[in-house]
Amino acid sequence: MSNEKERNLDYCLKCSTCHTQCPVVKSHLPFPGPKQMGPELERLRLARGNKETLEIDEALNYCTNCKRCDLACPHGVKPSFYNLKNKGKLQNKFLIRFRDWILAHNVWWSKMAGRVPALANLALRLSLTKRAMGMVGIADRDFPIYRKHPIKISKAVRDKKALYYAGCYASYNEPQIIQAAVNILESCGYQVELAPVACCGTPMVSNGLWDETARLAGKNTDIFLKYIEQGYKIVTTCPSCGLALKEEYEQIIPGEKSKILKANVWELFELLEEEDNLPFEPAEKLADKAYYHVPCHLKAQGIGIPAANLLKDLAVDELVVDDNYCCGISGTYGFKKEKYPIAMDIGKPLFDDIKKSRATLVISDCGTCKLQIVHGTGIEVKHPAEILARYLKKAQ
Amino acid sequence: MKYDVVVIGAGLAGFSSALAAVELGKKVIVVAKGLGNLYSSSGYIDFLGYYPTTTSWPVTNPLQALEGLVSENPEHPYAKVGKESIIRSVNAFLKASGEMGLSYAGSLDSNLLMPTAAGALSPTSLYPGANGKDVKKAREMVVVGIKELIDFYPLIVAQNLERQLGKKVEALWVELGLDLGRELNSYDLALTLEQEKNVIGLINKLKSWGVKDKLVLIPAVLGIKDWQQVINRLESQLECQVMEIPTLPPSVMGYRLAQSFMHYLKKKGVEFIIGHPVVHVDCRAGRCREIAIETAAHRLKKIAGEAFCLATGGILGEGLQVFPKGIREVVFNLPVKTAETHSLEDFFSLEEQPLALAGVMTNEFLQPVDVETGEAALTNVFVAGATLAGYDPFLEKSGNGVALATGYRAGQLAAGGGKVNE
Ligand SMILES: Cc1cc2nc3c(=O)[nH]c(=O)nc-3n(C[C@H](O)[C@H](O)[C@H](O)COP(=O)(O)OP(=O)(O)OC[C@H]3O[C@@H](n4cnc5c(N)ncnc54)[C@H](O)[C@@H]3O)c2cc1C
Ligand code: SF4
Ligand code: SF4
Repeated sequence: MSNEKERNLDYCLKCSTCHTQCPVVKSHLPFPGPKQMGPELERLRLARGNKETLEIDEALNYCTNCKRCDLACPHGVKPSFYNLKNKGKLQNKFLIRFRDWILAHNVWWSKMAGRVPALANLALRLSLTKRAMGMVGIADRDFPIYRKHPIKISKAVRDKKALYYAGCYASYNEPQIIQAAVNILESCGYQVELAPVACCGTPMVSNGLWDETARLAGKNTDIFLKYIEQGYKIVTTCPSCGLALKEEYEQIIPGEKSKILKANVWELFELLEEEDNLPFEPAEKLADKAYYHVPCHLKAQGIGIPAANLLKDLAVDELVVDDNYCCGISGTYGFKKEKYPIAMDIGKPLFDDIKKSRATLVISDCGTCKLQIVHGTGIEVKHPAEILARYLKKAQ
Repeated sequence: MKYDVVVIGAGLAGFSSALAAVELGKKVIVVAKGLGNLYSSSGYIDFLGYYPTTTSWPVTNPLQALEGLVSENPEHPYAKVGKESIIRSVNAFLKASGEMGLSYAGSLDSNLLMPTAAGALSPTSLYPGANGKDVKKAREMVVVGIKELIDFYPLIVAQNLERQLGKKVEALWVELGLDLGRELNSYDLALTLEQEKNVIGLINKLKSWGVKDKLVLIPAVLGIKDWQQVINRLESQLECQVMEIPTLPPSVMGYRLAQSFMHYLKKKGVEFIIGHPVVHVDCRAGRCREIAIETAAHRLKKIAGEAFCLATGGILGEGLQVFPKGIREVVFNLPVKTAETHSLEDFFSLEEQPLALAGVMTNEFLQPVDVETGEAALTNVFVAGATLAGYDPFLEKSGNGVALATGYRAGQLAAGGGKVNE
């Protein structure tokens, strides 16, 4: 553990502000909450020489890594960091480990499924498959649909260079997001290349595979740095991938490399805020009223909601912007049988708020938020890039 | 991104600034390192509990006492903003609290003595309406402890109240039969009392104790959202009066105010970025042009504004930082006025606390001034809340009152280019 984080422990004044912001505490009271699982137990662990895990550590399985505790703390402590790190030391039962391992390596299954999407989609909906999944502890809920879609990229060489890192969800489930992001970047004058990087490691680290994530993060960082040296900006559209590169890599593999990486990672619309002439023009509005659900990991990036103003100007008459609620799915969390009811309970206030708003369209940057919101409300959800790409100026 | 008013700090002072500015139709953003102190505080708005601070008799009429304070103590934040402005902030807050669904009540004409978690009596002016009962007038009182709740001891509370009020106060324990395998704080308990079966459980337990016609004092755990209905139900089914006692952090009463206020401001169009400190400012020729927060990527996000409200709290809120050689204001590095004496004895004295008095000096427009010359150092920055010099929130019992009054004034001034249209 870096010294800085250890020192941070001393800043915890036990005010419990973080505790009141934890979505899991609210929906699953046995969870002791960020203050106790984080700074309080960490002191105890340190005092005991950080050797054996504590019995209570098992509750770490229930932390969704939403980061709301980190943002709440008035004193700069980041409870989620201790949770993530100590999850890696848990000795869960075999079946849980097996199930979590499967979910953590979602990228492998996605790669396979991506080759034969129709077959994979069919298989995932078979009752036999569902039963098998149920036996290993996977919830009976809809899985994302796999889609294949060739991406068109211009070969023109330009000064402004962007390495677009799409992440697993867009790559295997919604390639149209990739095309939209590429089109937007190209219209802004960027030479775009797709990052030769598969999974960022978020599903692994949140399933307790700390060491494996560290290896993956190291490998990915080296790839990104090669592009950064050539003047590329790393651009993301998945909030969790973005946050991993901006914050978690530095926690997992502290050092100079992760520092250089984080300084060069941009969320697509964060980058657009820096551009002078945006390549958009008015066209027919997409919806009278839309609801923007700000994903927890976008909120945690501290960049505000850069897509919101564009959406308001171009695409919808009225935009309800919400960053009060966590949708509950938290990546692989909501796919676990024992956590599924918690995930749905966490999401309920959001589902209710969406329905109450009478919006006909929901906008959200995160693929799994989308799955959860569609599951909870039945209302269509789109990525902001997908929407805004429709308003790009037509080439002269 | 450019805003009319940029508020730095998400405590009661920052929220009040945002309220004033958004009421005047301005485009407002609140940025803060973390959430403010409301989550630890009672949720009561104390305006002036003790004046002069050396007396041990609480102020009965804060408005009257304020008049004395304003003329005798021109450096006090209340003197800077003036009586009319204080009254305006109270009216605005009462109106907004109703719209938030919290319905605060009370006025500056009188203080009510509110029991604390230790059984002290704390003078306050504004409180959630459902809690507006008077322990001095109650004939019979009973303090209820909940076995599952940590840090609340009804016997001690009852004894202390008995001593101060000179009348009998009973105490009793109830057990709700919750088994969640861990210690429960007041926020946890309030979550359990969002569930119908636990409310019924509580009512039944209290029924068997016979609390009819009494004033029931119970820790503030009666729900986080539907607490007013819970109080109504207890009162009608038990034929008693119910009053919540604010608890140690996490304080549910403070939580309710903080959450409701923030949601309300969001609905009015105020933007929020919380969790990232302001680490850079761009000031030229006596004006601030923009500030920048540190994002997760450790890059700066610049936020430009016409005017800025500085409401970063005091030493506890970390708007002021203590160094061996003095005290620093963290955002603009503004001059901080410290009390003259700095010996260790003063430090621990029960009289005025030099650390509590320290803060940023301003003129009557809440603009920060040079300590020596008295000239405004920045003309479009307006300071509010615990960052201000010249008062002791703890001895005076004026913390949230000063935060509300100066916050609201700062927001109006920021929105009006340094003027307030009265
Ligand atoms: C335990 C306790 C209980 C109290 N109870 C009561 C009570 O019952 N009634 C009452 O009237 N008063 C009470 N007070 C006093 C009162 O709470 C404070 O005086 C008042 O809340 C101060 O509000 P504020 O908005 O000025 O500061 P704070 O609430 O401290 O808010 C400061 C804000 O600034 C942010 N900030 C700090 N530094 C930076 C930075 N560099 N960049 C960006 N943001 C920054 C913080 O994150 C925070 O959001 C209590 C105080 C304490 C300590
Ligand atoms: S981690 Fe921060 S918010 Fe949580 S108890 Fe400690 S100081 Fe308070
Ligand atoms: S990261 Fe989210 S779920 Fe985990 S402790 Fe913090 S607030 Fe709770």
